[in-house]
Amino acid sequence: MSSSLEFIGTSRSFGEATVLHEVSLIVEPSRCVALLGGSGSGKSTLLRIAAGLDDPSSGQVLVDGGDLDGVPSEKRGIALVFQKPLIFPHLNVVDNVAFSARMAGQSRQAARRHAMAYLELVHLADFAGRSAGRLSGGQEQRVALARALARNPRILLLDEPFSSLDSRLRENMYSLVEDIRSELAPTIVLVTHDRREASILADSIAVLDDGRILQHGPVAQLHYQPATLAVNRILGGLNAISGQVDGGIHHSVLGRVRVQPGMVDGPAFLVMRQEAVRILPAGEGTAVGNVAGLKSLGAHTLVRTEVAGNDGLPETLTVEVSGDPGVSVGQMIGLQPVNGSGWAVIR
Amino acid sequence: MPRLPAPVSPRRRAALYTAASALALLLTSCSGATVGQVKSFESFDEVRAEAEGQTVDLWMYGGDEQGNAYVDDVLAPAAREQGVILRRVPVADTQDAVNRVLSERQAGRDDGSVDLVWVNGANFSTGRQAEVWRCGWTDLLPNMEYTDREDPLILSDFGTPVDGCEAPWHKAQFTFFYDSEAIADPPTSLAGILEWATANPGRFTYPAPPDFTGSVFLREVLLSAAGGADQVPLEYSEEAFDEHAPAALQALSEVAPSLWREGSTYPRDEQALNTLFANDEVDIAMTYGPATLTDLVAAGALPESTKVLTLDEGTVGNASFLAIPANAADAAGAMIVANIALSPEQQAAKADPAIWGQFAVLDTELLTPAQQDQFELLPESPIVPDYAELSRNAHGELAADWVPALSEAWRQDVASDR
Amino acid sequence: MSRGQGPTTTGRAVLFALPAVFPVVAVLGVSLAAAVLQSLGLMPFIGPPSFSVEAWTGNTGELVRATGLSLNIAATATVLSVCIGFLIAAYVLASPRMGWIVGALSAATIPIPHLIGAGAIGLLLSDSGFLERVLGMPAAFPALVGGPWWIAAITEYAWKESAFVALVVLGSIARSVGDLCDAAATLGATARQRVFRVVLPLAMPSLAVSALIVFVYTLGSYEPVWLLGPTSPEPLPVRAVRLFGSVDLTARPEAMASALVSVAVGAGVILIGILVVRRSREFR
Repeated sequence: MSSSLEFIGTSRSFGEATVLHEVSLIVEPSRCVALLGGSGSGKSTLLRIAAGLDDPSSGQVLVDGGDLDGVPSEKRGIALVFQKPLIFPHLNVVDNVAFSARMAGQSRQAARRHAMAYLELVHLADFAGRSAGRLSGGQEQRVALARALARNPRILLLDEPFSSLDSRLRENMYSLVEDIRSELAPTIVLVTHDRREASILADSIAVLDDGRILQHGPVAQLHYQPATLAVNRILGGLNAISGQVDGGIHHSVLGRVRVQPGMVDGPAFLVMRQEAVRILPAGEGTAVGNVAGLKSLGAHTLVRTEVAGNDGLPETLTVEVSGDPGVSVGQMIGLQPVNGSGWAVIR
Repeated sequence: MPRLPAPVSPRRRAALYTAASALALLLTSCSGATVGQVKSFESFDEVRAEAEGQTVDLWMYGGDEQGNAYVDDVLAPAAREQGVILRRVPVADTQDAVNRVLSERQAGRDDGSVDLVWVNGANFSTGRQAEVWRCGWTDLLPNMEYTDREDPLILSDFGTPVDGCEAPWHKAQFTFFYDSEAIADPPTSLAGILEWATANPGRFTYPAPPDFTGSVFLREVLLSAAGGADQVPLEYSEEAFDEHAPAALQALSEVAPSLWREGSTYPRDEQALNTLFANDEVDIAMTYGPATLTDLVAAGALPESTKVLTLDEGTVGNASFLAIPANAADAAGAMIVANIALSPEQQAAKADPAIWGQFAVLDTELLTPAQQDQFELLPESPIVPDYAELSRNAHGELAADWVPALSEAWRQDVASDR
Repeated sequence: MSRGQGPTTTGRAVLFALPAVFPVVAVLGVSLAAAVLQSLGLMPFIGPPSFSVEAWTGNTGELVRATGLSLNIAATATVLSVCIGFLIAAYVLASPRMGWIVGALSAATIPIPHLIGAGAIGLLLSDSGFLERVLGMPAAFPALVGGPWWIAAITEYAWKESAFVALVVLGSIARSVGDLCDAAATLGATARQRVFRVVLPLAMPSLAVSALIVFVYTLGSYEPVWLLGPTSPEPLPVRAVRLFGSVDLTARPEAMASALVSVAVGAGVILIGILVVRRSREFR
């Protein structure tokens, strides 16, 4: 049932403004890819093009190798769940879910029977007869999900469907998506601006910025081996220490850190996730920092430190620690990367 | 000046007046709508003194552009010279003006907004019935001396005695006209016209009564079917109606299948009939204002081949008048205007087809030679013969009560039939 | 909702509404009362008042015929206006670029008075009108103006009122319908299905309300039927105006009876319409 989805050099401009620049991306069958980017990065436009609600200015969209050019939305077999639930107000819950079956020409009875299975999947079977106006936001989004799934789509597109839900409901929806993946295994493209959501739901993440795909790879790779500073920033990496690579070793205020093989010599930034640095008593570790600020994240705390090197300007290094960091502003501390080697990027 | 079938503005306003006046009536606690005593004048000098500076609202049918222009450009300046401002209030139908007067009187207003009305026939008689006109004032007008005191058209208006309740303004002669290119040998009597219509299906029709022109045609058929104008009593009575109306209605029912659109519908008014004539859908039409034909042909609204059709037995003629409502706020000014309108200069100007082309109500023999010359100088029309020719064998109008009775009977028997 | 506050709030609301409602009710009430009195001969222009139901019973056949005719014309015009108006709205929604022009044209027809509209339709459809000249078929041209089927008058209503319906529908659904149609498309609904299975049901409430307005308006409208209809038979408003304007003052009661029948039918239709709309809402 699942299909592959492929964008080849897909561009889209509105007048002067170019929203997508030759985007190329492959989504394998039954995989879940998250398109991660800020607002205006073009991620929703890419989904609308895949769904046939918008046409690319150039480039192709292929499903299982077949070009979708000229195929209208309703014939693509691609379902889209929008940011807003868009429940049909004139239909009750079960008839909303039964909509696609009715459009395909099934009888009301058959369509409803088919719909009930999907309502059960999203745990809303008891609400079948309820009118659309009398649902909570989370219920509405679950109905929208059930409605899209009831179409038996080859590909399921999710356009920030959970962004308006509160965090508890969102967690429920995440496990619902997990259930759906294990039961139906659809190919999923998820658009989100939330890297956590992307990391939880997706097998791989494609980072979109200003209409370009900066990097597409597995979740861990994006976090620890970003292609650029921008990717690092978009995935929440706070640290980029300037320095020089010389013979596979990055030299900076943090001292000498071995970086990935193949790095050419020259100036480069050492990206080091805030989770991958440890705080040690002063005098220990590979570098010395001065605590410049503390910011609570709840269970975690961000410790901002000034690291002064032997030469050049001091750099800021932020460290995320669980629980009470046990340090105070102005205190001198030692810093130690968790891993033996680091990751350097040129820009 | 193209004359398309200009949509005549609706009479809905009249309904509003009724509602408003009914409201006013109820709010003034139904105290019986009595109007204050009408102030009478002893002499015309007294009228002149009172009229100085008054603004007179003349309510008249607004669908005749030449008439509007005459009042605005010729009559109003003359009134202004005598210290009276004349304001023309156009109405879609003279009934609107009469309704306004009736409604104001019902509401108990004695400073009425209608000072002068261009009226005749049924509207005059309706007003008399309801006693809304000021009476006995026309003898004060100096220019009445130029009219023939014995002229039946001026003494009685559609059978209703004038009694000094309205001042004559102009005369009119009902006239048929035809397309001389389509009809080489036109009929010479009304019966002949109906025969021609039967012989030429679809080429004749007449405006649906209660339209004014259509009503006149209906009465002409009545007189013709009765064997002549002298066979039907002017006064309306049910006996006279029952005696004479059936023959006329039968004649019209018989000709109906041969009319335009097989008589299933009729043109709404004279303008609609003119449009049919101009579009070559019918070959004979009719009007109570034959003097305007010259202008219509010149303007291209009617074909060049238009010719007046005079009947051996003659046609009906009437006079129309200026009446002053009893509750008029500016009655003295209205009398000044009525007097000016009667002057030989105004009557001669008004008779000029280039200005309006309405026949004078004056008796030319009572005029000075200089005044007569003004009428002699009027241009002759290639289409319309002069008034003497048109009004040969003319007869007067039947009493106004005939009009609604005939219209209603026509609607029931002739129009609903098909 | 806190208890105890309800009645005071309602009371105050009624008080605030009073200055607006009172004049309307007063004028309407007094006018209707005056019309009733006139129709019963109790408010004559001349002569003493005398009670009579002659205006109502004297020519019942014609009154019933006029009512039936008016209902027919209004119903046909309403059905056409609603259907055409909905299609215009659907077209505007479906094709934004051309639709914008169609929408602007529709909006432009709204302020044209019916009288002018009727005149224009008359020039277009009459026997020697524009259409006949363009088609060049003098003999075969059907009697649209003044013909037995009231085609020109109904066309005028359908033209003007469909624009009204389209604008009401667009105004009420334009904001939400685009996204819902996108959703429907991704759920496999064809363009046709989107129009009839999504746009139509969404437009239903505004269609119902505008249909009511159009029906009552055309029922009481005078100019197009007067200008474009045949001499006989007469719809209610034409009959009422003719009798009201009659030189025979005794025809006034009959005029008022005709007008009141048209008011009563209009009020009845509004009442039924409101009940139906409310019922369908509850049903949902």
